[in-house]
Amino acid sequence: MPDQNVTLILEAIVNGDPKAAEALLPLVYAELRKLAAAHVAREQRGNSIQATELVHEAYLRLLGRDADLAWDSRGHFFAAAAESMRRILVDRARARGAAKRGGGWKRISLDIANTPIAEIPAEIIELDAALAKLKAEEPEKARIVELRIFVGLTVEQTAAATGISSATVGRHWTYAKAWLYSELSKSE
Amino acid sequence: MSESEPNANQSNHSGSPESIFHHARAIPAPDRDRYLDEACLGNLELVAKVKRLLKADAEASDFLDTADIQTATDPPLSGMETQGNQIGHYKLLDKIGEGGFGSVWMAEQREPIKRRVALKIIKLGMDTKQVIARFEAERQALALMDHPNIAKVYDGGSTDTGRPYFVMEYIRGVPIFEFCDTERLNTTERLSLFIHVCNALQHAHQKGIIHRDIKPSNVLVTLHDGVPVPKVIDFGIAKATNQELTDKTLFTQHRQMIGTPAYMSPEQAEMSGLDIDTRSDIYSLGVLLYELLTGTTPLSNEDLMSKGFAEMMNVIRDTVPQKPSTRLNTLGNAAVKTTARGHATDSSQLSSLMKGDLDWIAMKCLEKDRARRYETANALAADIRRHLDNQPVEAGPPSARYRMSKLIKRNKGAVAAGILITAALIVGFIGTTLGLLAALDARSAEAAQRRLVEDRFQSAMQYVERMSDEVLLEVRDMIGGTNATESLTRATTEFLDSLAIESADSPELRYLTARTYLRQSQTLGHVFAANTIGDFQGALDAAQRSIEILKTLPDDFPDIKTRFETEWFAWDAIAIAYGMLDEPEKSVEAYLKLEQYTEHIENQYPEVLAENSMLGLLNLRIGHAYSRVGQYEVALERYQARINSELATDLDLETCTERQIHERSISHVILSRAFANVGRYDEAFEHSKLALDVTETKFRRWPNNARFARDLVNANSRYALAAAQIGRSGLVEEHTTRAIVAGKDLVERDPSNASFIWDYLGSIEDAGDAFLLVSARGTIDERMNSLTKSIAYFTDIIEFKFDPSMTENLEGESMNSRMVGISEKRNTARDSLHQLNTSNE
Repeated sequence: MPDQNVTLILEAIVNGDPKAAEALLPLVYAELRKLAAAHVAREQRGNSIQATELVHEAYLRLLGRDADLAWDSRGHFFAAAAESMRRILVDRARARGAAKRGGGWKRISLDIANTPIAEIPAEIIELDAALAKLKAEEPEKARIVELRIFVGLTVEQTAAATGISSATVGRHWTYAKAWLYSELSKSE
Repeated sequence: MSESEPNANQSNHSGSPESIFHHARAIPAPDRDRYLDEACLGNLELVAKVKRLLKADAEASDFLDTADIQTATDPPLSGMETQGNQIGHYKLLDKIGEGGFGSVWMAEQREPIKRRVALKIIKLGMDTKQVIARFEAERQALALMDHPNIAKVYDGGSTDTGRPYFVMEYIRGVPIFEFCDTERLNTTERLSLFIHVCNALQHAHQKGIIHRDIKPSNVLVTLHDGVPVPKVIDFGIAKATNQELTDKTLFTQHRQMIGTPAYMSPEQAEMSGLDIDTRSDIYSLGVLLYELLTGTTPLSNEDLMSKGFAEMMNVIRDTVPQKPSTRLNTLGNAAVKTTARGHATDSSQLSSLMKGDLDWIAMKCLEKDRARRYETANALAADIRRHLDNQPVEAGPPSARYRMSKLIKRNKGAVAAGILITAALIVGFIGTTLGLLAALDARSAEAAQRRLVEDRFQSAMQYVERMSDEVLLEVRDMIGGTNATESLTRATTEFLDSLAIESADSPELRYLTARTYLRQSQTLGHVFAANTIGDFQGALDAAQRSIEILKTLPDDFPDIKTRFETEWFAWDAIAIAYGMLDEPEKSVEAYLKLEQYTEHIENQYPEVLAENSMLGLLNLRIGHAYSRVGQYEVALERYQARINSELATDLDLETCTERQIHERSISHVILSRAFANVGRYDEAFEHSKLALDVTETKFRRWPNNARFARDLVNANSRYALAAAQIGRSGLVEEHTTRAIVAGKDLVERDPSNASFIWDYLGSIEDAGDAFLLVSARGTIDERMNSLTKSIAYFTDIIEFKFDPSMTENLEGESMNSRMVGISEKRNTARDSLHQLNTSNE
């Protein structure tokens, strides 16, 4: 039972097992991929699915009746989801061919989380590269960006998921955004 | 808050770039430089870094949009427009759709004309200017499109928030699949709809417009006066919203995946925008056709989407899909059943329906190499039409066998001849076998050997019977099948008869001969059959010969049930022939005899009758015979005895057989006529209406069924006359016309079919009668107008030119007395017209 697994893993995370978080990722990843494929297919009939919805559906499915686990586990789940979603979306964009430079990234908005995933712009690859650099310098801020972009969490939700105050999340967000923008402008 | 506010005053050593950034952000721009100098303590590198961040921050207002989303599950930003908003000349009324592209609204245009339109607002993220520019570039061509199956594109522009929008004809319709499945259209009906879609594309292509995004949601079906009309929407939009990848500078721009993968042509998947032409639409049409036929797309969406983008494109470019028939066979049982139900047929039939033509047509559209697809949408439509007309399709392989099968379907007559030759060979074989049997008997050969020969004889007989049965069944109800049926039965009877005389001791052979005579009789003159030659004397002779032969056999040969049926229909044929030969008394007599026989069987073998509807049918026929001799009350009684029990059961129009529909329609027509004959006009009208309803719905489903075609003529004709009888003159014009047009069509399609001519002339006569009745009321002008029409109709019959091959058969007493009646009615009408003329002067 995947549900069982997830619950066990989350318990392990809560109990401080460092390897548990790694175990959660593939589960979330596989589930999201499956969901994404199914939903994109449905999208052809005009029923579009956004990254946000995907993550939430995966959340409900993976955690099942334990969905109202402690915030801690929720946070871990979303962290895993953000990482998985990032991979899915970037893979998708990458599969469409390498993106060239041209400033298309400027138009990337938080809307990504609300963009039908079939239509994720290729420029997300550039964003992802910049995000990787940010992660090296400021892992906490990068995580906030991931949660907001790939899971579509609001500032408040991000705060809840990370255990950082909303105000700080807001400041981190503003900074990270400027940082990424400047980074992307540099490479243009 | 977990962090303390950075304080400029305490920065005796430089703070982190982040804290300096935040602080500087809070300061009005002009004062920032001074602050940065202070805060960075002259660290120029740090100043530059923070400045860069601040600059980025200022420019990044759109980047990773700070307009915070409410909650993660809120609807996407496309919901910005709301009801009542004004966009350009258009006022949004109702949101009618939403998708990845944006949203569609029903809107109202006020100027320059007031009308309902559909407004498609593309979501943010595209370069609005480019979209509009591309739209403008094609606008001229779009305006030139004028086709009933194309939703017009009126306008395009951008909203205040900078989103492109398009204005189109508002179509009150449902996507084509939804329509086909909810209306449970059969394959033929689906194909007919599809042909219209092809026509629309052909028109657009001629105007130089490629659609680029043909998919079910872009083909809506709307009803015009009850007739389904497909409308292709979104012309020009795919192109406008597509990033043309020809322009290298655009290459990295926000690139959306245009089109729906399952409907995307291989060359679209190449993403080399240079190379899209009309044949790309042909491919998408092929996918649509495929899905209409099988309920699935050639390449499964699930499959496509589970792959990465590059692989998806590879699949679209390289994977050859299954043929529709194969797909149906490999689909799960339940899935096929659903599809079949949608097609109003069963699953086993559906796959075999697809095999051949439809497989080929669909696969030709789906060729990866567009040079091998249909050149034009017209060519595709033409091939589907060919399939519907049983002509060889262009897409088919030119094998001899295939062309032969088409030939057979078209020329039943020639095929019948071929079968006759085979039959003759078999019959010859039977003869030899019989001789052999006799010889064996003479030499009192071993029983085992004799049995072997007997078995062989039996199977040969069965073969002949099946042969003629199956061909007859195929041919009998076809429009145009008259001559084939007739020559087949005539030749078979003659052959069998000569054989029967030689081998009087074979009851099997005699029975078979009797049956073949019966069939011949029915072909010659059974007016209730779909196709008859109209040789009533010949029909009478053949039926009598059949009875004669039957009389030489034991009463229960070959078994009581089949014997009863054969004998029953032989008597029926005799009675009908008498009726047509204008000897209605003899007809009644024959029927009363048949009634006795039926009652005898009912008493002796109740189980035989329980399985047959003979008793009911008998009432019908007797009713008919009594009508002919003018005993209308008795006739009505008989009709009601039969029909009321039949009408008491509800007919499920979806599941019942074609025959049941046909009988139901006839029953209503007959009852209507019977009621009219005894002056009960309200009831007559009611039944004619019921007949019309039943028939019209079904005729559309089986347009090649001669029975329905006849029913349509008769029902309309009856309805018109019944309406005239209760004074509902308004209905007369339309339905007399419909009856006559339908009747004329039948006669033109098979001029040698007496049944068709009968119906056609009947419909004209009814029209004459109806207008004669109508002429009793109204203004003088109206009355004169009706009389003129009535006279014209009667004249049409009197001057009707029969096919030369028919006159011989039709020049019986029956036709003569009928003509006399008609000519009398014409005189009445002429007199009335004359009177009106004189009183008018």
